[in-house]
Amino acid sequence: MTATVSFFPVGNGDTTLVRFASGHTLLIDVNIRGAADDPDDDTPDVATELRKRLSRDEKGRLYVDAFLLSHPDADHCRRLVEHFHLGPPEDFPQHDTDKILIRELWSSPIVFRRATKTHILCDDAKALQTEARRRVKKFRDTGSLAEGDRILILGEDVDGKTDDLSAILVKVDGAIHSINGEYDSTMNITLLAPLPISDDESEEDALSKNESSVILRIGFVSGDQESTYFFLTGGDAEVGIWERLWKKHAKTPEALQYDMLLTAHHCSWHALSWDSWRDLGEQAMVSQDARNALSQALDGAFLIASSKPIKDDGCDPPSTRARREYEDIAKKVKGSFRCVGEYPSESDPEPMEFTITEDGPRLVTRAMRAPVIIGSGAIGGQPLSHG
Amino acid sequence: MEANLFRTADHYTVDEEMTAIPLVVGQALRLMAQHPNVRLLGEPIRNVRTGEVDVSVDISLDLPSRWLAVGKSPNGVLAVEPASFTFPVSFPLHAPQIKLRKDFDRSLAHVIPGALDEAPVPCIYDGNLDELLQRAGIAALLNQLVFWLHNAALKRLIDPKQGWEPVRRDSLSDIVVMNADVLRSRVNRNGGQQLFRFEYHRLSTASRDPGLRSGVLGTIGDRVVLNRSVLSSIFRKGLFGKPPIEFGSSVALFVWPGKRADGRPHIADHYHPETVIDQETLRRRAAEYGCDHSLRSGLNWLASTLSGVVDGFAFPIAIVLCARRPFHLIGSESPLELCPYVLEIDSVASLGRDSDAQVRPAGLRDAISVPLLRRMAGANQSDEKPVWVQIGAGSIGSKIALHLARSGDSPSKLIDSGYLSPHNIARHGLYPTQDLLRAGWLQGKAHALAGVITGLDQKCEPHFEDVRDILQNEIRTKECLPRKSWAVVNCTASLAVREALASSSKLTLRVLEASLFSSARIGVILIEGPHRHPNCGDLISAFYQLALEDEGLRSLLFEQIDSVQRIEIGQGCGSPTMQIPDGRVSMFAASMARRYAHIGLTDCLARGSF
Repeated sequence: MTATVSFFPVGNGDTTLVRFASGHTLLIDVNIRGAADDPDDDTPDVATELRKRLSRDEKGRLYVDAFLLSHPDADHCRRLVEHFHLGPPEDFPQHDTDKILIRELWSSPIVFRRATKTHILCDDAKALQTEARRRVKKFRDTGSLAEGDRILILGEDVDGKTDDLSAILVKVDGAIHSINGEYDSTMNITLLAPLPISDDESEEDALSKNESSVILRIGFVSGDQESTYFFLTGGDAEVGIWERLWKKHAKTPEALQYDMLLTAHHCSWHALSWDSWRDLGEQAMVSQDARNALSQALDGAFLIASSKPIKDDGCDPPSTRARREYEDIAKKVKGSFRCVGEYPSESDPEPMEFTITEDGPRLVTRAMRAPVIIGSGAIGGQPLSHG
Repeated sequence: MEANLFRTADHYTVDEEMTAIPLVVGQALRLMAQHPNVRLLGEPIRNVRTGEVDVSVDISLDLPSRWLAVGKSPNGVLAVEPASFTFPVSFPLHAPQIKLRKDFDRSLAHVIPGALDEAPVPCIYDGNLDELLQRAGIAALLNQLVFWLHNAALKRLIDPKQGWEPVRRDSLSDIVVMNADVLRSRVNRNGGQQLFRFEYHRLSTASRDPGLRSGVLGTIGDRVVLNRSVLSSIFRKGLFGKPPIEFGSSVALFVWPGKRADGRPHIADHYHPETVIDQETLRRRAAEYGCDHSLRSGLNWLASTLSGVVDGFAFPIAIVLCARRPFHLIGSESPLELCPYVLEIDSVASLGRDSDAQVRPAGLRDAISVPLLRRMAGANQSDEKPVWVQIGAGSIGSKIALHLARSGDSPSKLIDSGYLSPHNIARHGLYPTQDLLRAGWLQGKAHALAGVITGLDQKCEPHFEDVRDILQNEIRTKECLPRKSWAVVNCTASLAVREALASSSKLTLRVLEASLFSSARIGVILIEGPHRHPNCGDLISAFYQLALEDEGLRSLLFEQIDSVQRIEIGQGCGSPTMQIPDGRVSMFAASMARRYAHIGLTDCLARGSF
């Protein structure tokens, strides 16, 4: 099986499905917009497209081997409760809608935080937090977890709160080689963030949802183990995190190299700069450290914005200025920048999919859908007849 | 490509600049410019002389990232490939012609045969491009081209799962018809060559009539052992018709590959489009396939046998090279690709290595065979052919027999005691060809129909007998109505035959009956039950009873009882038959044949479940 990465057109939000060559699936974030249910609305029906790409288990349940919420913002977990089963696997509804089972939940330690004035959670995020706590409690109660109860905590919490969870904990710079309890030789994942609180950072800042984003460098290992191609994904991590990452890895920049990059925060200018694009326009300065962290593109790399079509209208995200920076990064390695909301066309976006070949990721070619123009002026396809 | 040639979708509006470009071409160009893989669309140029519109298209390919970084795939397909579209004046009734850059690697398969100094034409669609254009529009052509280029770069044009794509030879003038399975069965590991009879037709002089094929149309027949004593019986020809058509026979030389020096079979694992034009290029191609030694031996033997032939000796011979591919061909389980050529010889010298005799690649067509017929019918090619007997080779019977024969399920025996007569042709399954009109009337219907079925590669034994007489004789009953048959189909429309069949104690086969009533407004199929209970006599009585209870059927069946009339078929001659058009007979015959095919092939009869 060839590994694939699918980016779904969800506007300014993320829904990324990774399928490793082993067949294991990792879903990173979901942003399923309600307007897609309206047949008269043009919003892509991402829920249906996602389900088409998932397998069913022996009980007929759709499942993902792992689901990662990069951080608990609404545009990363919208309508999670409606489409996914949260709760003990034995309570999976038999005759309900076609819900998706999360075999293993990957979560940052932010799930242990209580809501504060700045740490406000939407209902979907709250539900996922409850689910994560349920799974952690079950681990604490039983010492082991089975499918549907499994959880992996990505990053240590403060004050030793995760010290007793070492069996289900991945520390920053640690590697993930297993998914849903199974060793997978076709994946090689490194956890780059969330970073521990720095000396000059308040806990409140550190726990802001964007700054707590999980950053993964996902390696796809070829069947012969001879080549690995990397996908760097970091939710909504902003400039401060990328600066810290660069400072940490400046002498080992290969730790940040990628063949595919999901540009942070939907191509937001704030991943690259402390300045306001709206206020300063072209005077806004790029943080060189953050840019360095995001510039470790390998030959032919793809830089992808999971956002609405990018316009030169002062909006952020997505930011046209950020796009120019990413295009410049891509150009230096003869790579390319792609916007999910513009693919294959702004008017009719479809999932942007890559296969991981032995020579790097390759964008899956989409056929053009267009009306038929025939001599009579009639429009529309025609069935074949036999004569 | 210069930047000022760049055109966006919005550019292709009908304005003054575009007045020279036909509106419908402009519409197509607007759509093409919107394709996600179209990076650049050049300025359309209209050829003042021909009216054709040429436009260049740069297609951006979705290659793996490391290939994009170097700008091309390892096999030389560019990350941005230029192509050209030529829109004919008749667009969109005819599709544009698509060409690649001249130096595009032709060994990447799916290239239409053409001169090496011309831009290659990719074979982007397994079908008629004009029809694809009508069905799915210009976007479909562009999609096909984009997929084709990707497959070329990714070496997927030949996909082991799908099969090896044979060298394209579907637009050639010369055609060689053969039973490919027979030739393949001759192939062994050691390499070799064999001669076969080659029967051909061709126009003896060039004709401007486009309705006549310009090349040689030949069929490879049985194997022949060539020596001087049989030369005159093999190499012969004659003329007939107007314009004169040469028909004759010569030989086909079939050569196949042997082993490599290391003892392993010679595998031709590189695709090369057809380029053979003379003996030199033919020999080179044979060497590529590992059968050059066999080709040389075969031609030398032919030359030595023909040495001393008189002047005026001029024949086309067929040469079939066999290439052993690394995996099975598309649509076949065999890895052996057969590549036919036509070599014009007019002397022994034309078989020599230095001869400048023309060698033409030929198209390959499967000979008529049961597997081919089954394949065309969508039927299982491996199903055992059912054995069944048909009585009656008239209008309904001939059509049923031919429908089933065309699916590879002809009757094994045909029984009819009548002769063909001109009036039969009005509704018979056979057609009056010039020669049949002269000779066909000498034949019984069973013999004429069986002859056509033989041409469909199926054995059908004709019996010019009245089945009532056959049933009187136990031995003849066993011979003509063998017990291993799955059924007897009675298409005689004879009350006497039905009665004879129903009352016969010698006949153990179940009888099926097909008949038309009321000027072919009613068609009836009778199917006897297990152990012939009920038999057709019982069944027809039941049908009459049903008809009596149905007002419509009763009116048709019993109140228009004179629908069978004596129709004049010549001075002083008449025939009791119905005045009905052929189409109505065919309508019933077709559905009856389908019903018989279903019950016969699914062996329902044996299980007694129909």
